[in-house]
Amino acid sequence: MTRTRIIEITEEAARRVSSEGAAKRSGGEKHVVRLAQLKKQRPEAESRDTRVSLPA
Amino acid sequence: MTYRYDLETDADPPFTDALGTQIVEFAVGYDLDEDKAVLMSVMLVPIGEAHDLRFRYREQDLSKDWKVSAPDYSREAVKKYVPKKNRFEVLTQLLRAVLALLGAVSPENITMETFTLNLPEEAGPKYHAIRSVLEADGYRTEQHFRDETTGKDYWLFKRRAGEYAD
Repeated sequence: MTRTRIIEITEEAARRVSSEGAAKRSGGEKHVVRLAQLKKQRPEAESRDTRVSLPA
Repeated sequence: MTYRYDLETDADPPFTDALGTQIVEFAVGYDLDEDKAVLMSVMLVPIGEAHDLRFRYREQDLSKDWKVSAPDYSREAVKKYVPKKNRFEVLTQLLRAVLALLGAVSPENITMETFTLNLPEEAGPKYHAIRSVLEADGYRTEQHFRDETTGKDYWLFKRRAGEYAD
């Protein structure tokens, strides 16, 4: 494989992963679960803030 | 913005995006105020007779998990998302992701390029580590050169005859 061809491949790969289409994912369901767990932390934090602001 | 570094050490198996790229991603941190996670995205992109190995940070929307940013190739992203003292453990996860991709795809030819011009000295060990992992997994370095026009380093790895990834 020529050096020119190696450079062409890397350039084409860079374009492909940067394109909008690459962002539309399939699979990776387990990862979604992990992210969902992270997201659950926010309502807990907001709940704590609300309790602190309530009058005695 | 309240970004927190929080490395995910149990990355999921490879998955395929809509364009056929095999990907392993693991979270390096998240920002709940911005409703996003920061991921290291490690990819094997099929292009013609080779697969291109690339890795970079992406931001993922926590509400719409399919919505991810384009890879961020800047050095600022590294400084922003990973504390200096934690970079070795991120590299360790990156190498694990590379091995997982090799196990899933086992491509004949793999290309790789540096993201920065005239490879900075501090970035050298990272690429050396990736090269070592590939060579330990049945590949030989067919070519390595720096292109004077682009200023980047390029590699071509070829699977040794009779060698298959586990």
